[in-house]
Amino acid sequence: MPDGTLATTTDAKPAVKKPRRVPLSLIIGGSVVAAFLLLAIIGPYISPYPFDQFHFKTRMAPPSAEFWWGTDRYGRDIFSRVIAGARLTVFMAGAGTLIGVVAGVVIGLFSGYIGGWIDEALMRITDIAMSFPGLLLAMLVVAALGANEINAVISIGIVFTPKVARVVRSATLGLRHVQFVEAAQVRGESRSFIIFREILPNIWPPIIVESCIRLSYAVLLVVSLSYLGLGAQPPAPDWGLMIAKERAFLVSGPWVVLAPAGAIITLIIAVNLLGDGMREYLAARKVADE
Amino acid sequence: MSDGGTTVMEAPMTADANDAEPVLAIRDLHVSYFARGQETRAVRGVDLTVHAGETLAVVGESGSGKSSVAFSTMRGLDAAGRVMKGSIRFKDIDLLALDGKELRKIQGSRIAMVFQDPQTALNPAFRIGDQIGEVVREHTSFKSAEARDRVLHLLEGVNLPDPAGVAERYPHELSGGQQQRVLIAMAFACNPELLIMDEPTTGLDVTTEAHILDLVAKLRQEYCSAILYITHNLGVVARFCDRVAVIYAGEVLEEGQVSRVFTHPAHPYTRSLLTCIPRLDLSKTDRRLSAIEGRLPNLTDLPKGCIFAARCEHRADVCTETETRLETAGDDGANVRCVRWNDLPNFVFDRHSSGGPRTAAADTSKPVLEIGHLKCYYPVRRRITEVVSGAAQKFVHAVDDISVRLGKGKTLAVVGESGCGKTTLGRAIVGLQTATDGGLIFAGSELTGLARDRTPDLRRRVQIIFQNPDATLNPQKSVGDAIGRPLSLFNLVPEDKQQERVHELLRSVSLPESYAQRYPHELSGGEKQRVAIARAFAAEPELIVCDEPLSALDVSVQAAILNLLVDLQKKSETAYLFISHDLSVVRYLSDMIAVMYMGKLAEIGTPEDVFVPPYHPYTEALLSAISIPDPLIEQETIRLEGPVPSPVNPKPGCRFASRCPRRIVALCDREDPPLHEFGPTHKIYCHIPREELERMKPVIRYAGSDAPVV
Repeated sequence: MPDGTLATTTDAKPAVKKPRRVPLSLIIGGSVVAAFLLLAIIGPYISPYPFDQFHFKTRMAPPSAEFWWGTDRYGRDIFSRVIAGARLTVFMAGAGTLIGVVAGVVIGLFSGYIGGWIDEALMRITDIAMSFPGLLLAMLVVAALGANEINAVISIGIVFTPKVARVVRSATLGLRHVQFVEAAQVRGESRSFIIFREILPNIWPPIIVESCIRLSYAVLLVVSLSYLGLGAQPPAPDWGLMIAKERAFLVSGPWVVLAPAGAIITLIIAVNLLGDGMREYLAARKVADE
Repeated sequence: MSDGGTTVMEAPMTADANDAEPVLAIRDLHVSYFARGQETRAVRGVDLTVHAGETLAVVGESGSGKSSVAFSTMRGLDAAGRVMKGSIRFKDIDLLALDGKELRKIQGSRIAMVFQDPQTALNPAFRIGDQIGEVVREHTSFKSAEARDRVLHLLEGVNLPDPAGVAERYPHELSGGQQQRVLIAMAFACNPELLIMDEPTTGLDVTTEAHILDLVAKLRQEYCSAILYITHNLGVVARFCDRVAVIYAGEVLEEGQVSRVFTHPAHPYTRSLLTCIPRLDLSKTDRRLSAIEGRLPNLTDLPKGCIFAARCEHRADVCTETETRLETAGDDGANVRCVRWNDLPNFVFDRHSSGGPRTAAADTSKPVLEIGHLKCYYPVRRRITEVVSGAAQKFVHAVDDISVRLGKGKTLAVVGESGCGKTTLGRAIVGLQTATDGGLIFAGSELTGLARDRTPDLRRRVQIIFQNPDATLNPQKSVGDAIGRPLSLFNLVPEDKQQERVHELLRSVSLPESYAQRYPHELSGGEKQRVAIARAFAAEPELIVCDEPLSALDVSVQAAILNLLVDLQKKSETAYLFISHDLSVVRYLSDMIAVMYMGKLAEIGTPEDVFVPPYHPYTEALLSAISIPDPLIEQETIRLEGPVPSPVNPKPGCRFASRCPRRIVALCDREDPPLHEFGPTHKIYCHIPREELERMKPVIRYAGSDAPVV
């Protein structure tokens, strides 16, 4: 082919792509999650009172201008406690998800790519782990390691690892015999190069979507463990703990329970919206690329 | 002239038929697709007319809009597509005006369709007989017993052996060719007046394709149906159709009788299409192929004037200034959309010679690859009951005792139907699969095991180019990274010179340097394949296994890639092991051709040996089945009957015996075929006596002579 033809072989498809439409669920979910994250970071600087300050004269006060969401039986400001709890809950859920996703991705990639009896063994172990209900498994782990925040995070990671590994493995299986992977094998690339440099970049979309789903479950697990007394310990301002400790006052002073419960619901819905939006956005991107 | 050519000549179109009401009349059809706020004008102003008993081919490359025409006619455009303008009339019915219920009444009974992929067109959960029976009952008043008879009659009509047995089976129990026959039976279930076929033989082996086309030709005569035949394959058009409409970028550029369009093409695009297909009398030593340079125009932003002007070798200023329209050219009702068609030089096929076989000298070059008695067997997964009962492990004999050699800088082509083991052979050479037995000697050292167990030096010297350009590049890596990786992996170029070398490699495959920053999704299929070639050559290999590198590309792009492969080979003296099912491509490119059947070598020789008698009976059938878009070439009609044997623990004797038209009863089933050597390069493995092989007639001849085409 003579060089003079180069000009005509270019630019039927422009190199610069038009911006894609971002789904509404991604915008809403993303901004609410971002707001919670912001709250977790700067919460202590903006909260009206320290979360553990007692106001003996105003115990069980209903919401007012002074105490926006009321106070509890020790006269602690609920609003300040919910804000402080955001840091604990968001970070614990995030850390637990991160552990689960990282471990699950690594296991899933190796299991799916290497195959054979290693795959078989790893997948049977995940089957066993997944046969326990998530909360029960987390409780078992915490019961064995001792009840505190760190162990709660570790237990969430352990519960999530097999689930993420399954998703990543199936995505990996789909790419295992694709030609660019075989091309890398022919070149003699190492296994870890093929796994982390050839396959991993192509399975980010399912990993991201799965991580969002896991994150919403992690929030639920964190507050459930604290509610059961297996996570954060008093006087930590954990949302689950707050509900557990104050549940006796549900009738006489519902704001004590409703505020943390509302925070939990909002965060979980937001994370779910984020996950749905991500899935939609990434699927649309894939279509656009093709 | 035999079967292939006669259909061209005896086009049933008469003056009377022309005046009668057409079965299908598409007038001024405009179809657009809408995505992300942009309108892609995929079809613009297409007029097509199909009369009863006539077959109209709509032929075009990918992106030409040919499928959009078919989908509009079936009212099956997807959500993003819309008919903007025009009319589609079936007899006296306006198809575009029908509602869903009326449409369903017509579709399947008066209009039937056959699609490309039979596997997805059949419902895997229902028996064949029930699926056809449903069509019959839906559109006729037949009761179940009558419907059943009708189903059996239909299955018999498409030459399926044991119709009653087939009716009881599920789709997955049939081969691809058989599934397509079932779909054809289903299409003819209610004597359709119009049949729309969208690439019905793409993806099938040539031998199966020939069968299917013969069958549809027979049914067409029986039912007098009109056929709209969508395809990219000019050879099939020449073999099977009466009239042809050549469509490009959404416009019909030329339309007329097949016999005229293929001998006297008027439009420059038709001419380019016909000349960029490697002809069977053309070898890489004769001349380069003419390719159509450039790309399809952007259909969201149409150029002014002729749509083909940017790629046309005859373009003049007038082409981009004047709007084109379909003009009548000649006296046989042909239409051409070109303002300069009358000024163009006469079209002549560039033939190699007056005939007369060329002879090739024996290859005396030092072999770069010697394959000795190579065997690749794969265990069949056993059922748990088989394991328990201690049944012997069975093996698929994918490659069974193959010995060939490949000289430095030469091309050895391996041809055969799907499942013949040609791909396995290539994968064993590059180390994607392991060989069971036998030796692969590469430049004096042995190639064993998987690629990762070989030395880096051996890995560098043996490269591979894959079939599917869309999967061959990692979508997340830039072109520069893809080509640069072998350079750093094998320490071929110091790091600071690497970018320079990547640019040099890009230039060597005729891509601009700026492509180094691009990602695969920004490239066309042909460009991706160029990048894959550059990546293979980056390692400075001595042998490249090319696994069907052209079969996913359009013919015009194919020619350019073929030229590129030839040029690079001349420059670098790299040997190619070229795996293909396309005999005309193989004819052009290769120095030696090995014909494989079910893991065994049937015949090997230079193209001049293989394309002229004596033939192996299998080669003879393959040559007879290929579709050649050249009315001046005649083919013998040889069709393979009989079942394809299982590759699992094959029986002794000649593997081809069950389908061989020249089988010697008892002998062929019992003993492995002996070797006949003809000349220094030509080997045939067959029981047929030497003298009889030598008496064979050429399968592909120039019309009106006995001279074989080589």
